[in-house]
Amino acid sequence: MVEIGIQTKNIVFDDNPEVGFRLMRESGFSCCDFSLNSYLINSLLYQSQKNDFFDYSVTDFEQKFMLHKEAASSSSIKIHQMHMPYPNYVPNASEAFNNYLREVVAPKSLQICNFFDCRYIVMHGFKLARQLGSEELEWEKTKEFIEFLAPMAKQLKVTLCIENIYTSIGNHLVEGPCCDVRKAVRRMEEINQKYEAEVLGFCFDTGHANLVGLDFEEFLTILGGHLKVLHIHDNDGIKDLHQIPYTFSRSRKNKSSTDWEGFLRGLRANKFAGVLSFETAPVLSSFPDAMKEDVLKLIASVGKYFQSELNKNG
Amino acid sequence: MIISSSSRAMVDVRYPNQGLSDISKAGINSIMLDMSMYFDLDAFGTQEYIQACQLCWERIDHFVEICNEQKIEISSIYAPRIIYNTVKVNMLEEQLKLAKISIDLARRVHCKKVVIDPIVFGFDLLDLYKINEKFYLELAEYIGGDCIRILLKNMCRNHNGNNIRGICSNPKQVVEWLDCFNSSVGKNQFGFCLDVGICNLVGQDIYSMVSGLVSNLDVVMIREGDGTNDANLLPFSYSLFGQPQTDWLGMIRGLRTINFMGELVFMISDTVSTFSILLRPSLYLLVKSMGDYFKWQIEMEQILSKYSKIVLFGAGNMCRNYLKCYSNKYPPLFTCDNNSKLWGTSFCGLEVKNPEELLKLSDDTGVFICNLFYREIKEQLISMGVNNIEFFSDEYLPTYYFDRI
Repeated sequence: MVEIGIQTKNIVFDDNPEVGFRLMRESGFSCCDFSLNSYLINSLLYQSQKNDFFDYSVTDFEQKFMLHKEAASSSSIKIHQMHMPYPNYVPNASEAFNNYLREVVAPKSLQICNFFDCRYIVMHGFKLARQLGSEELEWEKTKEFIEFLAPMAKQLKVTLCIENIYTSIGNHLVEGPCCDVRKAVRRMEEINQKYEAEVLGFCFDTGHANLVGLDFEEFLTILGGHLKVLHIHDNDGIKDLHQIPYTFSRSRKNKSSTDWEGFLRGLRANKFAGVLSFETAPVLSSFPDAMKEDVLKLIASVGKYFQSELNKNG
Repeated sequence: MIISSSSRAMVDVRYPNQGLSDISKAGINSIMLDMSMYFDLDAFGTQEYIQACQLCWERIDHFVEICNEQKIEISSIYAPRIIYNTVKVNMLEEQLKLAKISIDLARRVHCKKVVIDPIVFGFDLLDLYKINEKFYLELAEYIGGDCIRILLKNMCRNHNGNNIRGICSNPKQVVEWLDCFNSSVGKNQFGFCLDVGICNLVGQDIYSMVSGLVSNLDVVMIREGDGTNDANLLPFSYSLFGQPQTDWLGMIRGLRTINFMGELVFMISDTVSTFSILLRPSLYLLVKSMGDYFKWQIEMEQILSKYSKIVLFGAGNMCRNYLKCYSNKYPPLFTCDNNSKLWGTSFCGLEVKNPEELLKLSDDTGVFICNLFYREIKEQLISMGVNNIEFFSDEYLPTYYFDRI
């Protein structure tokens, strides 16, 4: 049976992780998506800046995160998936900076993932199609990055999950890496065959898919068993807002403008048996703190609705 | 490559003379006849629709007659269609009838291309291939031995106000469909029309779409939009933060990659409708310039390949960009610059010479201006007596990833 999860960002805090994990459990979640990306934020990286978080040793990380691991365990929250910091490559940054992202941040992220007994780590493909001239050439660069990590992923039994993401033209958010499901499937199969292990899987992000008009049902159906994890959130089809499903309507009928029925049909066709994981951290910073538990319960109840709809049809 | 414009909004249904005359005077000599001007399927079943159908041939004949007078070629015909966000109803029979009428007209005016939208509305998604196969093969049979190509088009669908990619929006799927249809009729009768506006509406990677269609692409409909609403705006006329919202770079790169030789159609009915009728002649002149510009950009490599030798003018960023993108395939002999301090020096490994050296070039050498002061330099070169003057542009380079060089 599918389970329900949510990202740790804006719920679990380093000073007392137990409170956050307990809140998750009490709100109706059984799994979480560990937001490792919160420790090295993307806005800094895009400016070729970083903090010293990943300068620490794996042993240091294990000490730091032991508290989180125990708190999750005591609250019966499974760390099902993790988000690697992104971007993994900054086009205008120095070679040394990009080497740091590749050779320090990414491998340590995998080791932290393994420390949490988490089997899936979500990563973003490089956004280089406009610079290089084509999506195919862009993928070659992402593939080099994946192949650098693949032996370690195989050894640790961690699956790197590529995610459908967007890029922008002017103010318009458009298709970015991993939005062509047919290509994605072919590429995942090639890499997994090469390493004789499931080193590469897919994270389907509903919000990003909605922004670029992907047909959820078709995408999930074609993705098949390569679908490992989900990022569930909603938006208005224009901006990446990470809101609760069913939030937006764009017609006078006032029906949800995001195709959640297609999402459920797609998950059924996919025979998905993983975690319905919500990536809705901005909702929590938007609502007053006093309402956090109520908001989390609402998100969990959307998850329960999805769960019941999926169970209804076997 | 043919540059044309859709008749929609540019030409009055009842009185086509003035619109076609304006188009002709602007130098646009090809038109896509949009049959929806005569058959508004959204009004299907109403008295207006029936009346319009009764009058259609009289009106179409008049349109064709004026086109002949103005020497405007009907380069393609766009069959009447249901707009993508209409109330979903099954109008297959009517669509088939109108597609046949469009084919009849193509025969009469010797037009070789008819764009016919796939059937989308009123059927289950899973049944769409079979429905369309039957629909298109019936049309192919109707065409018989005539040399008329049927062009399918990319579609999007509407989910409660949101745009979702519809059938024929994946190039692999399109090529599969076309191969099957062509194989069934035993000839290359089916091709494709890409609506860039639809690609933009669903945030598609236009380069991947175009390059994936390869030789199947016959017509490209170009229009600007805000990425959210289905608008028919003049390219470059909607921008935010100084940038257009449509991926023109991807389109141009893609069309270059497949060496596109088909028809580029301006679909700008919203822009045209907004402009005063008094301003439209000026607008059409801009459309003509824009068409020439797109053609020139898309054919950049063909222009370079026209010359056995190439010389550049300008020793700055544009020259550097030329060298990074084209120096292997089209190596220049040297560059020149009006700045005498640079003469005899080297720029990115290329010798910089006095422009006077251009007078010693052989007739098979093209002189490419790599400087933003195009017109000024062109005048200088003409006054010097230099031949084969061309412009180079780094606005839509094949790559911007220069670290590798």
